[in-house]
Amino acid sequence: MRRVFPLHNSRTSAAVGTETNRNAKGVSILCIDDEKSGVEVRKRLLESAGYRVTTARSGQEGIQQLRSEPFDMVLLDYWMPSFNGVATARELRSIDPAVPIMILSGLSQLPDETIGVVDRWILKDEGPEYLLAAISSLLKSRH
Amino acid sequence: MSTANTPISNSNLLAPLSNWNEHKSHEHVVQFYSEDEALITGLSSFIGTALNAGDAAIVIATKAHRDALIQSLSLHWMDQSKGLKQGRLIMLDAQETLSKITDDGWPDAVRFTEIVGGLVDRARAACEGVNSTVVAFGEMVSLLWAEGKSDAAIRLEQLWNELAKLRSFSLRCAYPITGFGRGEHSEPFLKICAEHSNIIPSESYTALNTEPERLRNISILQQKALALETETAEHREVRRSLQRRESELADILENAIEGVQQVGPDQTVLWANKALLSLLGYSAHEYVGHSLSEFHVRRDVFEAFWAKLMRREDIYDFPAELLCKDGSIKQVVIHSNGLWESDRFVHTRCFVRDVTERKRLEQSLLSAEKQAAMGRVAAIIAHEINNPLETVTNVFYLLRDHPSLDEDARELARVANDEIARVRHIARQTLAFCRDSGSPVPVSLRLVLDAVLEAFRGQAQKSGIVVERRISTDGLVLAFPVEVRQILINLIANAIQAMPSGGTLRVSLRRVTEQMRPGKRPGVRATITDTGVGIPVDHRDKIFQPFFSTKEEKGTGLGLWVSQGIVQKFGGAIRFRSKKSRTGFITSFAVFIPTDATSVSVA
Repeated sequence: MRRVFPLHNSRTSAAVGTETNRNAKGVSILCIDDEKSGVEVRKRLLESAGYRVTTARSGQEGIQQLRSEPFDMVLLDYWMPSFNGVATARELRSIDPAVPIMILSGLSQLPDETIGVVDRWILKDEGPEYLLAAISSLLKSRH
Repeated sequence: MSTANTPISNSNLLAPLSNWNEHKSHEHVVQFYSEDEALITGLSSFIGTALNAGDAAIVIATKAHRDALIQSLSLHWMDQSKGLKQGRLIMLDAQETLSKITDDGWPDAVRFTEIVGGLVDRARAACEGVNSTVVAFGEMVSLLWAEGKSDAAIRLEQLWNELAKLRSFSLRCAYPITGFGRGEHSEPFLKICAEHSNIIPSESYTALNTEPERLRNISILQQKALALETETAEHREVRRSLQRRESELADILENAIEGVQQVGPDQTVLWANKALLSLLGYSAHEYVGHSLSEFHVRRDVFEAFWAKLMRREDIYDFPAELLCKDGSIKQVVIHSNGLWESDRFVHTRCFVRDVTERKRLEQSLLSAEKQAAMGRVAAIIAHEINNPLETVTNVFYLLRDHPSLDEDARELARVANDEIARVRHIARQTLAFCRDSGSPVPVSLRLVLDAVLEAFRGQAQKSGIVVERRISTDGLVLAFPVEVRQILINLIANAIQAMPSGGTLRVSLRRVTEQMRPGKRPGVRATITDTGVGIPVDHRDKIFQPFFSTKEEKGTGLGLWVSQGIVQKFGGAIRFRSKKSRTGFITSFAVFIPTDATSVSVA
């Protein structure tokens, strides 16, 4: 398995900022993670920045959610049991080829195949400011 | 057979008895003897008979033989002082006379005739009767033989014979038979015998008084001679075979693939084969004759090795390090044992095997396995730590401005938020050490620098820092991207934090070729320069130490330490310089990252 640095393959560049995104209002994000407390707190963090957040506790559940309603962006955990982030991203992409997908990982390196499927991946230890800035940057690049 | 044991007389024998005293025959007789006593008995009879008959005698002998002869003459024959007084007994020292008649060890005919002929004339003049005889005994030939000068001895025998043609005298020579104990003496022995008219065998034969005894003795000697000849031939064959084997073994050792050497009791190298000299790069004279300890890198290891040998231990697989001529070090294992004769250490035989490459491979395998294991652990820990850490971080981030909390609680949440950020930072720095080793991939330092600068853009702007980019290359290297990013983040973060009131952050990237650094690896150098507070002189030797920080609660003291560890891991280097300028300080950190893969492309 060859591994590359995420920044090489990012389709956008991230800008770090701390201010709440003025354009976040009404933007819907589907947040998929098997960690209950993690996904709940992340939901509140994104909501505090003005996003509208729907959570799913597994890849399959997330896919169902996207099938039933459109989202402006998907924030996806990489390491999930049974149906991991890459498999989930592929499925999501087949449902909505245009939806920006950001993968979030505790690991510092990810396989090539992952990088090729998602729009951006960031590390969980980057901190909330960085996460918010990266989301804002990714969304901006799509509009 | 009634006469079988009848005693025999000298007159009718093939060889005379040991007390043979015939002196009128004017013969040149040689006597071989085993013991001095037998010589003196025969000589005393020979000289004594002549003196008693009114004849004259010349004795040229060693002091020991002269003294013994005088004693024997007194006891058995006459008062030799009378003969001495009358000039009929002339006694001279053999060595002294020899020195007078030889020139550089070789007998001189003129001097011999003059001196020895003069002696014969003088002796004859002292004789009592008209028909008197001169007898002579000389052992100068024996001295020459003992010195290994067989040709000179034979030449002297010939001079005596030539003198006998001019002057009438009866001559006897004597040689200890023990001087002819080797096979190579046969030929000169025959030549000596050929110069004499009669030969008296040594006393083991002449002491036998009856004919049957003598015949038996001859048969025994013939049998011994035959046996000796056979054995000699066999020995010769064995010796040839041994020499052949020895030369084959020497050839095998000399041309063996493994290093072999012999070391003497004083630790001096006595011999070393081609393989060993080639392994260490020395010529024979640079190695052989020197103390073995000079070539051992570790004195204590050599001493332990030598102590084992001196305890008569056989040594197997003894690990050591040997110093090569070019200054490099070879890892070797030594098999050795000593050759002892009784309690004397003669030398040691050492077989030296080069294991440098094996050790290196073992080390790198061990290191790769360790790294892979650490990488797996790091991945698991990273995942297990980062998940809860992210959640807690987010919680405090939300709490610090949460409207339901009073200002005190929010302040506490802010403190917790900062502390959690610190934990996150430490976890990241520490885990950077044990990332999954995998395989390095082509990384563009330019892209990494761009991304890191972008990440710090907001912070730099807030502090009023101007960023200058001087990037002339893509800076492709084979590396682990996360590690490269980690180094650049640490250096750029330090630079920004050093300029809280603004300044200039200059980032440059240059390819370093072999032409620029002859003999060194090519690579890429990233230089991060700031115009901040500078590095005080007393901090300069500490900044790469772990937990050394000047940022008080903000710093972990791990950044530069981790960065240096990563850079050193792939054979690079970090150097820094901090000097005073007109406006403050200019501090530069230069990171050199080597790459041999100059033709790679970005992944």
